Amino acid sequence: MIPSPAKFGETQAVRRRRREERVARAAFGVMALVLVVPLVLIVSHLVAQAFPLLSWDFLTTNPVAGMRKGGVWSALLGTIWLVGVSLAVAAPIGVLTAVYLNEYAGDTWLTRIIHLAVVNLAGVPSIVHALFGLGAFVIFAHLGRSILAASLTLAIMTLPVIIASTKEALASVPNSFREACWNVGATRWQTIRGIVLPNSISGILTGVILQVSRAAGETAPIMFTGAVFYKKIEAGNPFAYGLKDQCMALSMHLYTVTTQVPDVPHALPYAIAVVLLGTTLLVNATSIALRVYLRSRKKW
Amino acid sequence: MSGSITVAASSPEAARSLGRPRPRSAPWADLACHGLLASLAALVLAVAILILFETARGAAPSISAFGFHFLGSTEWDPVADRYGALPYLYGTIVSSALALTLALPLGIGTAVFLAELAPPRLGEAVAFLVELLAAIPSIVYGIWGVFVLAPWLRSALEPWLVAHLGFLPLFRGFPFGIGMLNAGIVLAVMVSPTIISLSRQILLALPGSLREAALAMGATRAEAIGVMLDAARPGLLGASILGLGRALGETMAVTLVIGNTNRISASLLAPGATMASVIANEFTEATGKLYLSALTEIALVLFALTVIVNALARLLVRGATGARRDIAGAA
Repeated sequence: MIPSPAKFGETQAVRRRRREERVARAAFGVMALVLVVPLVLIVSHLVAQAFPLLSWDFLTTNPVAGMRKGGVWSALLGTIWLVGVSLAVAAPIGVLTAVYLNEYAGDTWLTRIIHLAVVNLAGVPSIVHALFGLGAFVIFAHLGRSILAASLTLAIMTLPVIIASTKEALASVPNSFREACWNVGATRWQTIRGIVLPNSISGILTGVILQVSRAAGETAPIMFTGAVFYKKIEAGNPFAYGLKDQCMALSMHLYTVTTQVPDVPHALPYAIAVVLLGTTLLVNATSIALRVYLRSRKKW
Repeated sequence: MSGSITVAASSPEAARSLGRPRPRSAPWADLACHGLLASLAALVLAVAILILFETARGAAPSISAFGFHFLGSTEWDPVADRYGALPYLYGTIVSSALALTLALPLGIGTAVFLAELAPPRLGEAVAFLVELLAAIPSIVYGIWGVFVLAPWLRSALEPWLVAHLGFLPLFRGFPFGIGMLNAGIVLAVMVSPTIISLSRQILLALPGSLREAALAMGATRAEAIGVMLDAARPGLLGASILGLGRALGETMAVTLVIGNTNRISASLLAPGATMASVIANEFTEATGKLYLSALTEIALVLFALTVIVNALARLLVRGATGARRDIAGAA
């Protein structure tokens, strides 16, 4: 802070610097406002426009009348299936791979290459994954356009990020914990199960859950591999889809309704967007709450 | 933590009696576990190689048919089976550059405000909000671009730009609302949460003594922030390049708002297309081997571009945070 001798010595230079200080503060504050306020406004605008359509029925009924009326049940269920199956594949593989890289493998050329592959895969655009999923799962593995093929594509997309975040979580467990455990004669796996995983579970879960919300929001990877414009299923039955079926998905449904269907009611795209947004934000909020809760129980 | 054990310890019991930190040979279960995990890690590597291989294989017919001319040609004619990717390369670069021009000063300014000026509580709260915004699906931003931003651009901003700045080639032409400017703004909105939260973390990671030293020398807060920004420069550069990486590969939102034509136009008001958007738009309708192959080659180029950009960003962020894992991990 500038010393402020009130009566004497307040030279012109000091006054100028004070003025600059005020201007700079205001400028940074305005920048924050200019960026953060519109971001919040975008969300509130979507919700406001969607409001007339939002109801419990909107979630639990199927789209009707060429997707111009009705709800989003078949799309919502499709998204849940896609995300669930992709998570069932990506989470175990991702977490165990990270355990290997962090707990077992030394610093060899092989682990360095794996690490390099992981970080580079994490930045690959989803549309590239989409083409790979189409070539590898739909065509080569003869899975056809199906929930399984689309979920595997999503799994490939989320895997590197799960590995990276799990590795960070494992690396944050102090080494002295492991050494203490080894010293009482535990094997590596016993150490991992008893000490390392319980102490890093909050970080691991946060990373995995964040990828759930990312998978739920993606459109491009499922567009060629399993999601369809329209599919009629039984409303209210959560097992109306099978792994070999094609499905609808919220993100795809939103894209279709916006670009392909003429004369949609004004509020419909907004309402679908809000359901999609609600799903991802709910998942994210869960992850953050979990992180806070588990961290509060941390003993170190 | 590497094994510096010299005395043989053949079992956990022996290890304990010798007081050694780790058993040298593990029981079979531990070995099996090790093997299983190692094969999973190898699987991940195999997937990475497979993605690269598949994409390259799909692109091979187009590469052999057009060579480097593919990147320099503007011709995109499925009927004559002749393809050039220059308009899409141009669209990707221009829309991303526009997005960064808009998001970078504001994003870093916001990060400075949150890290240095705002009361800590407010800073935390806004940072949390920004993290949530980063999770909004790209298609939702696309919807906003189509239904909210485009009408406003068409009726307000673009006519104003044409009237007042129309002497620049950037702002000539008809105000469609949909086009490069819309795509740039939507991308700026999408990448700014990434830039804000990463820049904020980088600023918070700087040693506080830097600020204190500047203040002790009689600097004002604003001048101290200048010192901090100077020290954080490589990291901030890395954060913005990571934002660039996101913008380059963004697909659905851009597809909705960019207009999808393969013409190169100097005007930001004109519609265009990006590499990701042309794949999303045309892949399902593409018939013919060479057409599919040309689209796959675009995917390959995009792949290479993002890998290079991200690698550069990681190097810069890592250097700036001194390989502190908690922050460098975000990269």
